[in-house]
Amino acid sequence: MFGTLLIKECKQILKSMVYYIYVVVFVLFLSSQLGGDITENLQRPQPGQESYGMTNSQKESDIMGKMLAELVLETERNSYATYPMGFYKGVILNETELEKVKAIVEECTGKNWQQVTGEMTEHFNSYDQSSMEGAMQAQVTFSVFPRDDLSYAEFCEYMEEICRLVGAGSSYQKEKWSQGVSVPGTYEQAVEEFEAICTKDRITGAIARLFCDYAGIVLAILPIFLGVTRCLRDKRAQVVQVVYAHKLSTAKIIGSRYLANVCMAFLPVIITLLIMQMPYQYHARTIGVAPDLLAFLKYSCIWLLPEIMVVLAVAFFLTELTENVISIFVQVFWAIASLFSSMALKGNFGWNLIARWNALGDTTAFWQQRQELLLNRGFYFVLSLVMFVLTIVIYEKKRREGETIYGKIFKRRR
Amino acid sequence: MERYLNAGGSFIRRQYAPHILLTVLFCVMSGFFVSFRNLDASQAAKVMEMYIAFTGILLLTPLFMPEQNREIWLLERSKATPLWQLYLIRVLEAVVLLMAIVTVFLFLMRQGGSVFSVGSLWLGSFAEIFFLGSIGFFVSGITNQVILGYMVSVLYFMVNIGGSKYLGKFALFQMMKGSYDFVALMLPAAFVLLAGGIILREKW
Repeated sequence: MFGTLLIKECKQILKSMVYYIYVVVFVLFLSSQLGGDITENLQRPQPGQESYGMTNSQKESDIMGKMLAELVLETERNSYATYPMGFYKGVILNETELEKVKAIVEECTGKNWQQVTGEMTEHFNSYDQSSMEGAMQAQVTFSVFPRDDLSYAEFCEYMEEICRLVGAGSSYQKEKWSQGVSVPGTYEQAVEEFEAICTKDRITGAIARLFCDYAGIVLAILPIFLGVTRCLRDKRAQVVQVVYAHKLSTAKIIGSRYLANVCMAFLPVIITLLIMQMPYQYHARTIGVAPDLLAFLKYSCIWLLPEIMVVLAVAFFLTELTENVISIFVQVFWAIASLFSSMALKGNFGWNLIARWNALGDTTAFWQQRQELLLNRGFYFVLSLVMFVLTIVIYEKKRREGETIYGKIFKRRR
Repeated sequence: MERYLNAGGSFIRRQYAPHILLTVLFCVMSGFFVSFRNLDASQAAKVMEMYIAFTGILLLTPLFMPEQNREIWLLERSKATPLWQLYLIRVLEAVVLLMAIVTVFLFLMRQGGSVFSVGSLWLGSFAEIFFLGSIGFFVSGITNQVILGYMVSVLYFMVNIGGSKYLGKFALFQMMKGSYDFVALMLPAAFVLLAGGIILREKW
């Protein structure tokens, strides 16, 4: 019976216009992001190259140089990026506050503000700012050196003072920068990194992460509409009481709906990844690496499936609870907050709904943070199961009592 | 006149109140996510375009919700007041609310010491928010599915984050770049979408 119901639900989804918009948007987004020849950067590094990418450093001198560089850039623009509630908030200081920040920069560098900004302009002018590569290179190599006698403890105190001025959630909080900063890598580090891509990732693993990074963005939003559509379908078709009176258990009814939605939402992911992985497998073979044929599938199941599950489970739960479209706003807000709260486009998974790894490779760094990702995805998998059970409880209660338990503010109003 | 006031009041009480409450909640929470202090024209535009723009979707998309139920639609059709007049009353209510929201947020930014041209930003913000909401209104009207209305308008917003160059004068976030030319095109387009939504829904 459950199987029949599941197939029926899948057929229902196939008749829905929302589903076709979901598929078209997903495929278009993925092909626009991964359509180019991204593997051209996957070559063995050669000595004497202009740049060897970025690497994470926890050296105190690197941290001080990079944090001061960021402070100078933000102070010059008078726009500080903060994330007080996990969502981006640009902070603008008034004249007095701005003078205090400039004084701190002067204390840290031992130079006056004009000298600091003059050196910054000189640095950026030495790169070709009209090209994307030049602008990027200028940005990543920019550091502001602290004065020789500035101790790390003093630097920490100055950063705390900046935090007080700028407000909560800025990048000057110790817990954010103490994990390290990005600095330009060396030839040896680049070779080591390339070897890791070939041995640990076998090329396809690195690209699968990029695939999951992009797919994760759209999958945090699109399944919401599938879930809400399904939950409101009975009400729209005015068959709520008929379904309530059916002999089938609530677990089977909700279970078949939820499972059908998860399967149908994951289906385009599977089809897209099967098609997209082929050129990368071929590329791996051309450079003499045996590709991991299941990399895309493994990454998608671990990275994307829990995301789809939790988005649908929350959509089911909120829609059954309120019998309204409120779930759309809650989840769109959650997804956008998660998207903008990822200060780094790579790693720092935390409890973010959208796990980002917007880099081709960085295999060593990824394997160091892999546990954090697994914990994050595991949490969302469990959360989706909890939400699913809660949905069953609510639906069962509605079935027994024949009405909503909450929502419809004016329900009993005459 | 009394008939129209009754129709408008009844819609707010029985259908629209949760949507208004949600919009108010969204606006009240803005302090946690955006700053109103010491902004220049571009930064003030960013607050309106990236955050307040959602109020257009929240207020204009659900206006056809009662008529999704065919019985209600048939009942309303049988009444003396034409349906387009009912829809127009709802649109007017939503527009008044949007105007109030835009005005309140500009006032908050001004109070926070921000510097911008009130007239241009008010008109630009209203045009953009109204246009975004009218997309949801149009889609939910012609498909008779409010969820599709939300989906298309949210996707339109998302497309603008990375692909605004493909949308020409209909791209959002133009005030952040200092351009206000879009108003002359976007405002009439919003009216066309509203009128189109009502006409296509009832005549087609």
